Amino acid sequence: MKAFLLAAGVGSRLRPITDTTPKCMLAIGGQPLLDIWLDAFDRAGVDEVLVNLHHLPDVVRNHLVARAGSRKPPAVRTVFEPELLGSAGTLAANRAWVGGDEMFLACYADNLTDFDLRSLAETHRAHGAIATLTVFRSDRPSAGGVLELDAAGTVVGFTEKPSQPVSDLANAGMYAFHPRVLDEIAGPPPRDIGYDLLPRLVGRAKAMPVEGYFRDVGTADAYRRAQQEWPPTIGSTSCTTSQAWSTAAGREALWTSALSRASPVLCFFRPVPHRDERGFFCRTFDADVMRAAGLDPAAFVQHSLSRSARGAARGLHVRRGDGEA
Amino acid sequence: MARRDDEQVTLFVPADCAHGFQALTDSADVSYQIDRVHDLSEDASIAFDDPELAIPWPLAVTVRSQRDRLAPPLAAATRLLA
Repeated sequence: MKAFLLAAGVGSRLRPITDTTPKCMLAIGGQPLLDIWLDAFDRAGVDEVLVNLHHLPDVVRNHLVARAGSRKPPAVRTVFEPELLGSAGTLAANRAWVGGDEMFLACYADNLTDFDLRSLAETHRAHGAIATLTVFRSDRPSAGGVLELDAAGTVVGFTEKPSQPVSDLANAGMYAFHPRVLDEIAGPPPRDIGYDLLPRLVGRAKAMPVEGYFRDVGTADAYRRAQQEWPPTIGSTSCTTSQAWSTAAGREALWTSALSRASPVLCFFRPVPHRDERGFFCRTFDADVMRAAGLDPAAFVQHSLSRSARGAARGLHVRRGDGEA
Repeated sequence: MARRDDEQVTLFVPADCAHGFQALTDSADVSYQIDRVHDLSEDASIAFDDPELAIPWPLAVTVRSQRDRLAPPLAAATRLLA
């Protein structure tokens, strides 16, 4: 069985750690996340893993060369993406590697879990659906994809980062796919599994709950907690993801067309202030974060500041013609 | 949505989406970027108190610009923008 480990993320939410260390090389309990994943794949019967790289690829390559010396399975192939293809774009670009009609796994490298991937593979084989997703209960489901399931575990709804989640079932980012899903990935990259692929599988995909420990370690706070919590004690319950930045924040009602990124939608960004006795520091603009939300940070041509007295209102304003308000 | 004064939020407002805000503190700063050079002739306003929109402004609106005072309701503005 083959598996993708999606590891190309820049890790902008983890700066400055990720200025020198790619996310999948973050140390947890004395070993990089990458090794935790490779060991988990090995235990699940995966014999070939494809790791896609973008940010600081040589750090990962050098580590894998050292690991290869120990002849530890599984076999690992790396693919460098000079331009990020998106998670679904990576799957589609490596169709030849996936080959025939055997199922494959795909996981995001910035999650930390002790979930048994063998149970994912076995569940997928047993029901024969095109895809099997993993879910966990989250108090902030809108930080990622939100699922609706019917009583048989069929995915009957999927929305990436909805402003108003319809359930607390969040996508855990571990998938078993039939190669037919690659036919569903259309259009030029970047294509994203959450935005572009999973909505097309509604009604055909199944989902199963994540047992055990699960955490998205994509923020400095979550990474710190993960270091304290790992390795988890047996029987620990699911953890929820924590994101310092969110493009569609929580349950605050604002419209968003989460199923399509054809046109930009109203987005939230929440820079996290760093406070001390002097006051606070806060990065209010981050090109990587904007790009991650599908926006073009280079588009802005004027930066202005307004100051208003209490009670003053400005608006509603809109702009004639094309372009920004 | 109302914001505390120590909370940082950035909004991306797409094209054709009208926007407005009220200062809840004295004073309130808003920093913003635009992706096309500002052109006065393209400015359009919609009445902040249009009953069709029924926006629940948190405070009595004490100060407005001349432009905002004269803004037409949404239905009329939509015709002008079309």
